[in-house]
Amino acid sequence: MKNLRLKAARAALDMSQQDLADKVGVSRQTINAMEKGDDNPPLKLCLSICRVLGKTLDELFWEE
Amino acid sequence: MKKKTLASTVLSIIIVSVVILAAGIRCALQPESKDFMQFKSPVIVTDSGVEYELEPIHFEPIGKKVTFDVEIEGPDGIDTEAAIYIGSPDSSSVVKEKISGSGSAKIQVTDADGKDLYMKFIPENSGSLAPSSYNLQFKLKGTSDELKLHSGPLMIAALLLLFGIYVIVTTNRSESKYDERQLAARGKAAMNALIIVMMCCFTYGCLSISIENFPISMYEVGIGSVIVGSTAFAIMCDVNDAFFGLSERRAKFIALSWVMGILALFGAGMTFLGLGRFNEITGTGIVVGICFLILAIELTVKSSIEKKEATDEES
Repeated sequence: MKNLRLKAARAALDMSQQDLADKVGVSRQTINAMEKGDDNPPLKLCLSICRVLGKTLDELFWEE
Repeated sequence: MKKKTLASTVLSIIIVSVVILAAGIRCALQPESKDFMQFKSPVIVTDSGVEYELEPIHFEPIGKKVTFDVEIEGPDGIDTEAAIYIGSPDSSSVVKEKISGSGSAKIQVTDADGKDLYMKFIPENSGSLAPSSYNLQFKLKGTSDELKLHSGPLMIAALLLLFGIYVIVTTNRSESKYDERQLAARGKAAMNALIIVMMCCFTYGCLSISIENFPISMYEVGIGSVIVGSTAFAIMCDVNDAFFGLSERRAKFIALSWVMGILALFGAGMTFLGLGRFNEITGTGIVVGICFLILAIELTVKSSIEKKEATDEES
């Protein structure tokens, strides 16, 4: 399932996938895979993304 | 110099030194050089004699004392004379040996003295064969008492080894990292590549047992399967965006792949232009060239797709 909340949070800060990837220390393709819902990211990476985007884990990654 | 870079440099030098030392020890213990050739030739027996197309085989200087092991498989009734000539195939033969039907012979030349050698085969009908077309299968092996050192290829090999050490050192210095997703993808690709190598070797084993005189040698299969496996690993990693690290540049590696592929195929292709003799190295060179070209094409296409995705995403 696509993670549109992640994409929206990133877009709200006018950040490209490459910018977010550089900030959290992963490849652009990993961010792309997460937004597409293809990846199974580790918790540490999720927390890093939340910190950069200023959101909580629930707001970005909770599956409804 | 950082510890990691120093360790990589030292390890690279140790590995290269061990390889060179092992090769040197092996050469010292076994000074004989060997050459192996196998081919078929049709002969037509007529009422007036035997027609054949067997060109003299040329051997580059391989020492002073040279021994040829000749094996011929053919019908009883065809006697084949094997003759050796020094310097030119038009000179007088220095040694001759006759092989009747299927048989083998050891032909020794004691005063080759570092000159070119030529071997001619002259089949004759002993009288018992009816006019028809027959096949002769030849197998040649040569041993000499002198280890020939070719300085040109040795220098190229030394330069390539130095370049390899340089690449290893600079790659480790840049400290390209992989994220967890990439590491997982690389692990899976490595496992699949190993399976491919095992399948190549297993397939070769089955084919070589079931097909007599299978034309591909273990050497070619060994080198070829490692090259194929490595290429498969690189492609599987790159498809999953796990070949290049976070801060690594693709351009120089893509360029290197194109150069290696074209050079390898060019080197092998020279044989077909009549500038060399087809042997195991040619066959391996073709495999190396094709693998590198496939890798170069994949890397180039993926790079274009990457750029397009990044542009689309920003727009």
